[in-house]
Amino acid sequence: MRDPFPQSANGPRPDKVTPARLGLYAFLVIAALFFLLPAYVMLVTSFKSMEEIRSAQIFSLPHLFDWSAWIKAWSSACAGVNCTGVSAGFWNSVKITIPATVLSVLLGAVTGYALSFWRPPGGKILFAAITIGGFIPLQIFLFPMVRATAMLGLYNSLAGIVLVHVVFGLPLTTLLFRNYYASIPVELFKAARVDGAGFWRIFVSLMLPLSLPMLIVAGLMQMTGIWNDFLLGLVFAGRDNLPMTVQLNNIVTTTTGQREYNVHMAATVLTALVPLVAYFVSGRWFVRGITAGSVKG
Amino acid sequence: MPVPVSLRSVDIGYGATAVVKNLNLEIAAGEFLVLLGPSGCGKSTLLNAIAGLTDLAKGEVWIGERNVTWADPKDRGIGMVFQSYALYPNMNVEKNLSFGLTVAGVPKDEIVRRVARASAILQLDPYLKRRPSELSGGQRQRVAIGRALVRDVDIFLFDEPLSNLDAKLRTELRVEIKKLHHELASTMIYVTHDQVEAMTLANRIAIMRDGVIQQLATPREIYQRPANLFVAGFIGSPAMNLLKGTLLGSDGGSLFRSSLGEFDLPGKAFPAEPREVVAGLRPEQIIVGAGSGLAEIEATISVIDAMGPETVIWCRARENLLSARVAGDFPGQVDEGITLGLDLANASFFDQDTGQRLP
Repeated sequence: MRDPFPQSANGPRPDKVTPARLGLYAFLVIAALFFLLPAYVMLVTSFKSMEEIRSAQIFSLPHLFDWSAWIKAWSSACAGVNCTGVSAGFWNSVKITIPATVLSVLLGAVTGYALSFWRPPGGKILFAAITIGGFIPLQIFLFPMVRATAMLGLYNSLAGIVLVHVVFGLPLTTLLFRNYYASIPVELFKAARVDGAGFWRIFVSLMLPLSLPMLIVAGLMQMTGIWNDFLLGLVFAGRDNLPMTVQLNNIVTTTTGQREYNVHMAATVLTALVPLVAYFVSGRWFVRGITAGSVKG
Repeated sequence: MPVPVSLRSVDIGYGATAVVKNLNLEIAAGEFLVLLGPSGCGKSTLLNAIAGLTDLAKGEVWIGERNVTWADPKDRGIGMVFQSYALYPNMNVEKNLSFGLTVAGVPKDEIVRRVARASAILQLDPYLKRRPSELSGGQRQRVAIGRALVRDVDIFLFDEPLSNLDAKLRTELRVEIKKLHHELASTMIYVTHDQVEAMTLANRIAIMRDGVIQQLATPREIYQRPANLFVAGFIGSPAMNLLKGTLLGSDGGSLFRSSLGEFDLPGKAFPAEPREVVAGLRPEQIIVGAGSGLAEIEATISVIDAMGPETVIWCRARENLLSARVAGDFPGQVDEGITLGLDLANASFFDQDTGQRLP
């Protein structure tokens, strides 16, 4: 045993490197490589020519950086007979993601606000129902949802896929905002009511500006979720509005001719780029919002 | 114009969870009424009901000539100040003050005029452009008061407004609130659990316990003639000394018999049959030293609390621990024997079973 009270003790405690510490670092390095290596391979492969790829040195850097795969992936890669690259899917995804994110976040904020502060009769039951709804796998809802959107005349349309995303996003955003608002002192709400503000006035002038961190978190989660969605887009969007993920899949799984790995890699990175950039830009806010919302539940 | 407030047969909450039961309270126009009680006694709930933030289960709330029981908070002509200040964190002081006026659609120049007036009264001019997070606690609470002030409300409601401040600021702001009441002459209803605030600010104090008003009277009356043992114990620091004993009526006076001896009560006429009572003596009704002409007992000093201008000594007399208020330069020592004079002629007497004051 080491002496817990050494005579020479003075100042900061010295760092000690133990086998446990070394093992911890080894694990972390391996875990980091596990995620970083595929990303590296994808990037370098996308810049290689097909000839170079066939030489089967997947970890080597490309001899010369070749952008042509990226250009082809964006504008002329073929999915079946359709040779437009992922660009059409990109714009479809933008058209789906922006309205669906904005709507699901704002609706979640209003619902969470109403449940938190106005406490409507039956609100607790409603909230429980919404939360449970959020935990049920969405595949279960596919067929009823198809029937419902068909009845509304929205099946296979942009409005239809946006509606579906908003509906499936609401449990999460409502939960996030209700818990966030639970951490705001109710006296603030009371003061605003005494000042004469009504439901919407309090929401717009007071609660919405106070929920900036949660708006960013919920917006980011919704944006990534909707952007990365495959199943709902495939089922509800219709041929003209297929999101980027579906088109990427169509390009990559095309079976005729040779597999253009460099184009596939470039198309995949292009598809993943949007959520990636969003996380890099808002990482700080993201952490702040997550912790802010989790203080009280 | 000051406006009266009237609560008529008010119930808040239902059945076993009822917070306030059949409460009647008339608050005069321009009065400073303090609702005082321990936490959970229903005083804040009652204030919220007057503000319209909590629904009644039964009864009516009248403000002036209007029955406001079902009225929205904004239509009641009230302003409210909260313990946590409840300033809008996303707005600067000026916006905090003007928010209510903007919502009400008051013209711009009128808003500017009223904000300037409130800010002058509360000395907030240097801080108008600051956010609440950049203000001290005392400044924040002044902004909260200003928010009610700009709206020219008839009635100010205070919900423990000083409880979050340190002792020095609390005293300062207490004086400011008192001055404000003097200048505006508005009706003010003030909730607190601090007896010093209650005693110093109130025209009348309503002491509450378990949703029921125990006594409604002026601070002096409540201190000198507490209506029951709860009030007697709640008001006063140190608390009233309580002595158990038996009260016997006799010709031209009465007799109080306790473990400390038998004492005559000249001039106090009680019914002749013996009664089990508790005698209540304020610490200043116990005089140190022999020859006071009062009911004298022997005791031993057990603790001395020096407070500067005065000293409180705790003395043991048989099973009783009695506190007495003495001068700041009191020379006695702990464990010293001492003679105490009990001013029983001015003491309060309570029935042991009901806890109610005997007249």
